[in-house]
Amino acid sequence: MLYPPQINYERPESISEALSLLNEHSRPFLIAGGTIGVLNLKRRALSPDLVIDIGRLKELKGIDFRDEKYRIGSAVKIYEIIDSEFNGPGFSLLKKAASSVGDPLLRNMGTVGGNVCIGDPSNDLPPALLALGAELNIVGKAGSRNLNISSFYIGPYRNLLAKNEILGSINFAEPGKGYRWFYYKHYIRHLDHSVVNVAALAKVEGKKIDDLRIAIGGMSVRVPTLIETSWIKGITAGQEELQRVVKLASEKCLCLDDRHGSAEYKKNMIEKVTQMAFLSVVGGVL
Amino acid sequence: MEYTDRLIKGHGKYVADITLPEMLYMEVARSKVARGNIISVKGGITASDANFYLGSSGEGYGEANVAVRQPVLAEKYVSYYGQPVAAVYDSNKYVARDLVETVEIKTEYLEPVVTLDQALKLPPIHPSITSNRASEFILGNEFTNKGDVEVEDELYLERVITDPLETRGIVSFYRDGILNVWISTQSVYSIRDGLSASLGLPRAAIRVMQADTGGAFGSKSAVYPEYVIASYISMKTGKPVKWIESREEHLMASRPGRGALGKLKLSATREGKIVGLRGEIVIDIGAYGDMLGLNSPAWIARQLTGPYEIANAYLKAIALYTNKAPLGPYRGAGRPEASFFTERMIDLLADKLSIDPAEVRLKNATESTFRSPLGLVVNASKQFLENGLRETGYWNMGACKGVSFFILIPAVFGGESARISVKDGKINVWLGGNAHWQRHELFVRKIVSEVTGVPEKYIELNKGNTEELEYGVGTWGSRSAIVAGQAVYRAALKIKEMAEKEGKDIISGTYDYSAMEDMSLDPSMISFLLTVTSANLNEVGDPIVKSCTAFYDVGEPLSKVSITGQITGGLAQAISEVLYESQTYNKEGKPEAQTISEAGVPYAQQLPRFSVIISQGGKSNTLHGAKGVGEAGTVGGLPSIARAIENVTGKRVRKLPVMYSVR
Amino acid sequence: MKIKLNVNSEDYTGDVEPRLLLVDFLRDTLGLTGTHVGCETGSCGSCTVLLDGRPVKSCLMLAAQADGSRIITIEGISKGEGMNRVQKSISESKALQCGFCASGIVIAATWFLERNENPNESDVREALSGNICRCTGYQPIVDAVLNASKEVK
Repeated sequence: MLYPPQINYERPESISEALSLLNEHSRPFLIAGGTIGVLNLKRRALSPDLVIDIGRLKELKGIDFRDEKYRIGSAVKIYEIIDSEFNGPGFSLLKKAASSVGDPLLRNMGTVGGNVCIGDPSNDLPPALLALGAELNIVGKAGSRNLNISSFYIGPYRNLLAKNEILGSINFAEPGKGYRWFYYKHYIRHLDHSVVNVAALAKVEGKKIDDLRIAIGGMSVRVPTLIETSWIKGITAGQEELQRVVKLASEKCLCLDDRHGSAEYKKNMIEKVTQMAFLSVVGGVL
Repeated sequence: MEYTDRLIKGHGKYVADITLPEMLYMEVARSKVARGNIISVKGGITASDANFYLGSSGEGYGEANVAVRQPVLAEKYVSYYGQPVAAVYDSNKYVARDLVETVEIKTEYLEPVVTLDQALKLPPIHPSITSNRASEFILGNEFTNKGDVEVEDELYLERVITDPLETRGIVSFYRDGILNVWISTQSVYSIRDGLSASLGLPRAAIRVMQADTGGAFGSKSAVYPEYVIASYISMKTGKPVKWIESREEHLMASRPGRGALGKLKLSATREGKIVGLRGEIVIDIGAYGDMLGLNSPAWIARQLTGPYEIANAYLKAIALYTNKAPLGPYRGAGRPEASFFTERMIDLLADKLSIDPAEVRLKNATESTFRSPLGLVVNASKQFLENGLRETGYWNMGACKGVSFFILIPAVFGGESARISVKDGKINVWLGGNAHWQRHELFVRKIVSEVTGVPEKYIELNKGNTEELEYGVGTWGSRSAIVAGQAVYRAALKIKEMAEKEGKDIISGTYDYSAMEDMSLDPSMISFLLTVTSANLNEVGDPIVKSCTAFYDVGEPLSKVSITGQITGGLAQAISEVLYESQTYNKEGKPEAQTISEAGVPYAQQLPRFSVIISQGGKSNTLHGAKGVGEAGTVGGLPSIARAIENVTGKRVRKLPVMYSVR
Repeated sequence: MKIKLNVNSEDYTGDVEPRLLLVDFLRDTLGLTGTHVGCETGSCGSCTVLLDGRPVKSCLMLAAQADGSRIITIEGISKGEGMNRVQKSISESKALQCGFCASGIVIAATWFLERNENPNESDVREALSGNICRCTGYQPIVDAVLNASKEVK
């Protein structure tokens, strides 16, 4: 059976205490919800000299909306996003992504920070946060820094969070009125990694696209990725623009044959969900 | 307390729930390569301490494979990923797990035999044999009639993990010369006899008691290396030893099912009358084969004429060794394979002739009792098929549908036992086939009550126990209602007779009777299964099952609620098996699915509603008139679902699961 | 390390190893074996318990993480000796086979029904999407939960 190795466990009372613990240990391991962290301990994938439970830190809690901007503490549970009363288009996109995470029980356990930091390409929140242009507030002993989520992931399960840093909060502006949003997750086996996830936001003025953001994740890509769509601003979108966006998305395909499908299948799925996303958020202009 | 009530209140007693004073927890160090010569093993109990071989296996086959004996702990070489190499134990289960991490196994790499092609081409995986052909059979006779048309195809069912929700587990306690075993099992007798043969202990020195059993699906019918080694450790230490399989171990080293290839050719007239069936069945039995594995290709081949009148058949059936976990029975055990092979070929023929697949089936269904060239005797099936097509609404369905029509042969082989004991105003029943709560208690109560006249509330079915009932067979192969039902019927008649002789009211007396009922297969016991499926594409164009209707013949229905539940369970399995459920192995022979989700066990929101129509297609020639149910849904469902998927995607379904065939 | 928990309305204070999983604390330390271990990876829901009123998978949590929480296990899901409406409905329809999944399903469904007055079939299936039943194809269980939803609390 799977049991964790002998560990030392601390539940610090403040971020600064947590940061001190991080700095004092050579192989510290942060857990919050534990759905992946405890599993990795059980699998003995790591042997930390200290497990630091930051799941209850008050400073990492809460969802606030100030000056048209959301601040979501990294230890906020996934279900809190879903249960939140915020309902702008941006937050609604995040809600939909949150309600696609795992299952109802796992959503009661897992945290927003965990979903963002694990770096599993098939996690649900990263594509939504990419589309929302979220800034990650990262705290370290020397202070805090902000990093756009688009430069956070450097490979599967790898990101730019340093060993002695903690993701404090996730911040994004509510795109507000006139935006349409879309989120879709495609998987073959439930609770296995998804094949492809897509998140999209768009604003169309008259017939012209004012803003379009599409991000994809899933096992079909290396890391959750934003599709380059800035060129579309001011254009009346037709078939040609749709095909160009679909092509830009499919170029992100990692395209390896594995249990999540053949290279061809994955490419096809990226194209399909990108098209669905585009048509849904751009709407009836085609 | 009613067993359902006990379980929903959390009062079940599964093996993992059994704790005895001074208990030791065992963990097993396993091979991390599919094939290799062992250079050294450091730590734990190894083959040099405990040099045992698996004595026999489950599902009614008592004998061991003498050509290739499976060591309980690998001796000189390892033959599959996850094969037990050493065992450790401690009084703390977490510490036992720490210990197993410290065992060092060094192996010299040998190229593994992973695919069936490799098995045929590469040298044998064991030194004691000359080729990887583990068994070979010829069935039927060569024939020349080629009809007007021929269709030919190669069909494959991937390996599937049994994945009962409760993994395997055992508590062994050797005390005062007796080995006491509490276990999650389908047969306390397989376990007792298997342990006896493996350890060289007399049967009388082994007592096996069934714990609440959280699903089995074939994988808990046999004795496994871990059971032998846990018992050995108890004999060595004098303490109770518990071993609970992790899901990870289950996925790599329990006995999966399927892994079946069929290369078949049908010959038919222009009108769709099949005149002959030729081909080859090849089964991947993994690194070791018991009699069940060795016989499985012939068992599958023998069923291939199904409910059809096919005058000529000539089949080769082979089992091949590969460097994978040994094959075992799984939900339907050979029946879904046969059903898939035959029915896929009939669909191909229908397409070739542009005739509705149901019409082709009607054209070939038997109109009177038919003895197939493969030695199978089936009763007339045509009327049942006609009724079923009408009742399921097949003719009025849209284009994206599939129909299949096949047989379910219950494994009556070996018979079964039952004991009834009347005492203190209660009737206690034990069956040789051990219920893991497929609702055996419902038919037991019904039969005993009907025969004796004692109200059902006084009648209780007990868990398997070799002390209470000395001989028995087991629960598998859609046999319980039919064989165990007959045994309990016989015992009930006897009890009634005893009471009548004394002129007493049964329930106020004290009576005890054990019946051993022998039984041989009779065509009246074979059920017909008609399944109709419709499919859709989802938003991204992947196929999904929209509806699935079963029109199944169960003879006299002993308990409709349990029959329906069994069938919906089997249909769910058929859907996931067609679409996405499997265990796959990489080039190095390492199993790829490492969690129960990755293996593709389906969830509620992935499945449609099922309709189950229980047809009374005639009673069997048994005392109670029932036929088998078991895994009817899986047997009947696979080809019907495959056809519906094929129609909705426009791609011929040759290989299961479909979502991998996209490769 | 010291932890303090309230399990099924009883307080418990004790010393546990930091690595002890919540499910093993419940099963081995407290003897509440109705909570099961099925998959060990958070896939099957056999280990579901209510933690501060919400269902979680206790095989993916350290007991230490639950320090200070209120936990309800299957043994405490219905008050007293009786059964709650989900349990009654499953009992009446005999929707179970092997029963290994039952504890988790009862807890997930009970919580779901408390928050959803008139669920439809697809809501129930979604609510059970964290729980595996390998025997029944879910249909009898889904029906039993739907029937329970029609009963007054």
